[in-house]
Amino acid sequence: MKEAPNKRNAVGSLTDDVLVDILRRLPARSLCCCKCVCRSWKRVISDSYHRKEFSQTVAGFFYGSWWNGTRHFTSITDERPSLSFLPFPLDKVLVSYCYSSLIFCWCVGPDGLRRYVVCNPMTEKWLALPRSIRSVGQAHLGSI
Amino acid sequence: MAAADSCDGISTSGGGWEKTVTLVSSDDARFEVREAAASLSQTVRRMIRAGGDGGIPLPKVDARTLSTVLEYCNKHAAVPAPAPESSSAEAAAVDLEWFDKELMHVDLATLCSLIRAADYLEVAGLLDLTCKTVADMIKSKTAEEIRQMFGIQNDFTPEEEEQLSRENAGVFE
Repeated sequence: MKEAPNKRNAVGSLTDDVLVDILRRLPARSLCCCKCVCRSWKRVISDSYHRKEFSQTVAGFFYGSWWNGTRHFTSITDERPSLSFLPFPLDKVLVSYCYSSLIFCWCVGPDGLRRYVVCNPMTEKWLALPRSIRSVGQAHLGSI
Repeated sequence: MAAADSCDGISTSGGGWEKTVTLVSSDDARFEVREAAASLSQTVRRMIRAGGDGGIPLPKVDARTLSTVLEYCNKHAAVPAPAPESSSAEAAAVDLEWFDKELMHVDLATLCSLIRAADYLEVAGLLDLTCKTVADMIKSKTAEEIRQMFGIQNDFTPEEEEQLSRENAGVFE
């Protein structure tokens, strides 16, 4: 289909950074539409470097059993959320509770004691609970 | 003094004396602008500091686009910082909002030229305004509507499209 000349390459000449600046203002649903526009938009939106800028989309979900307190993650996209920013060996991290974009997890330190952390994988920010908290039976996260 | 070299001189404004600078567009049009307004562009501000003769060349911005950018800068630099929560602060904010809205009544190609110029000139407020305007145009449109609006060619193979629609199943319902 022939496009009006003023439309041709209207956004094609924008840099990736500027395109990200536009797309980061969109809600997740619109972002999904944008991913289907063309290859270059899909590349920019899928790029892990840019992902933190965008609205959060569902990458998957945690599930598990209450009786052993562990959670498993099932990805519904080809991406896996990474907790590699945490100062723990990854294979030892156990997710205890999730709320919105926050994850409450723990691991057993070298001293045999549990370390509890609340983190946000999207922003890669985390907060360690005081070491005096050694055992959390049931966790609930909230925000104010 | 190097910093003063790129300033063309001084002009009067409201009885006071103000420094002006000359900006030269890619098509050699010259714009004399108050330094305070031109300095909303971080790129220009750096060039003023670096000094130079014969105006500041902006080879990536044409006259038409630069004129709109400067309209924005003049308006936004002219607004003094009133005490917050005062009635004049509120009136100034409403006036600016109205001005910004009017400035964005342009076609898509012009809007994209403004985005490129704001990015190159590092005029943060204008970049924010233009990106937000384009984002509002994209919002609630389908992928095909977005392609048509921007004249983007669908370069996905049928297999890729099939996979994308599988990935996004449920999102568009």
